Amino acid sequence: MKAEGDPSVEDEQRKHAQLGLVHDKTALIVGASGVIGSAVARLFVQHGATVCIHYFKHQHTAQALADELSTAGRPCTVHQADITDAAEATRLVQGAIHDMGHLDILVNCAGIARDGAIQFLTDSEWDEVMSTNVYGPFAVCKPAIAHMSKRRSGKIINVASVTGSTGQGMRTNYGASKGALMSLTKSMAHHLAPLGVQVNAIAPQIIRGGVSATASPTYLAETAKITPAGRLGEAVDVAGPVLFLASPLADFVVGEVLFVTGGLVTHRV
Amino acid sequence: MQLHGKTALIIHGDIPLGREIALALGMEGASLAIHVSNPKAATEYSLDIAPSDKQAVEVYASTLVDHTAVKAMFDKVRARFGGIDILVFNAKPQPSDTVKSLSVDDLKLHVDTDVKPLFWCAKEVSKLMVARKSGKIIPVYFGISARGDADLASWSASGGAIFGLVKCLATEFVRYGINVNAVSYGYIEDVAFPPHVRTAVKDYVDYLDIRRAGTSRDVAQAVRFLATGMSDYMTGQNLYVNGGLLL
Repeated sequence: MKAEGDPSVEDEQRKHAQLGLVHDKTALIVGASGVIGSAVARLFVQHGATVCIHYFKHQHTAQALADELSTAGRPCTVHQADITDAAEATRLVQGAIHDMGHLDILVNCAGIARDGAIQFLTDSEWDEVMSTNVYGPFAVCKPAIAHMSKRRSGKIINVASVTGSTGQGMRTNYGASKGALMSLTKSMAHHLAPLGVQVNAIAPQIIRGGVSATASPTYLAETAKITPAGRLGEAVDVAGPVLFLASPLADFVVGEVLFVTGGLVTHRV
Repeated sequence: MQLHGKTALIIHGDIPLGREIALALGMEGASLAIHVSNPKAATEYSLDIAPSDKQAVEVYASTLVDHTAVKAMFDKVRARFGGIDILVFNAKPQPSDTVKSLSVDDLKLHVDTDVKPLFWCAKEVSKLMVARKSGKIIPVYFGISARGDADLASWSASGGAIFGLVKCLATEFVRYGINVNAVSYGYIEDVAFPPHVRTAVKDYVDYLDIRRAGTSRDVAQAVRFLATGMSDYMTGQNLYVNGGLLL
């Protein structure tokens, strides 16, 4: 399809449509050994990006993903880091920048859940969830922001959860952490938009194979039943909206949280 | 080219935002049915794109003030394209003012212009989409209703109605594989706002963290996302394209 008039419009839109929405961009996917992170990495590579894969414990999974996504001219590198340690988080970002030359996109997918009734929830279970789901992304964002703001360009996408907005019984620590991540997203967006860095978030509902995979089959079946779409989410359902926010299609979207829920809780968000 | 083989109907495709949306969807390979408000606009319509041999572009002139006219337009589009995969309802900017200055007729005009036609279009397109068990309905409107504005009372009210209608349509149609999500835009420099709003656009550029007004193209790209398979698990949402206006 050919556009007349402004050639830059034609060139850019054609490039997005044919070469991919993140063509020639570099991305660090934190938590890429998880189902959402790996789906994001695959979609980004399909759309022309070079990606750096982070994992914490699952080296084999991360390396297998990197092998799958590496091409001759575009290697996919792998870094291990405990992002709850600020020094390791900084080392991770510096490593990604070293590998790829610079960093255009940061996606924070790492997350854990330690469910239980609040009266029995231990301080360590609270701290563990907050450390991975809030302090970790914060620690990774800091060096990434320093780099991106210097270049006056960058996109950060935090993967939160609908639980951060609606709350959920037996998940007080997880809900609080994801609510914090959403608020952190908005505050960072405020601060960073003038510096050319856009920060947005995704709030999925239960994703098959994700942090809720260990929930009882009955609970998962019931959740699928009450979801208007009639099914639980898949990792690829989340990857598409992440790609949108990472791409030039979302250049005027700032501090937003996209709810990817199959119609669940539309009344609350 | 994620929309090859799809047909998109764009309501108010003759105003600048409608043109940008048509261009964005056309670039993804969609065939385009363009609604314009009158026969003169249809005669003069030119999208500045040259479709591939697999795409068609047709223009349909119709009033949106009664259901019969809306139904007739959908019948023509169905006859030509066989169905509609994507409906973009691009609400057209209307005069607005303070509550003190507005009459009931002013308010009614806004609802009749923005909300009732969306209701009729959704009814008609749902007949086609339900049969195919798939579809995307994307209302596009000025999202001032989420924060309110003293000078834009009727616009805020009609936007609120669209916001509610989107969620109702989403929950009603999701079982048929139809996604309903809105794009709610902020202060966009090339939207034909009333004069007092145009002044506000300039003011808000300083207020926005992103330090620029939006463009129709920014809005069109969000529509493009919602029209493709990338957003298949999203429904009932308002995607705010406003440079952080609501932060």
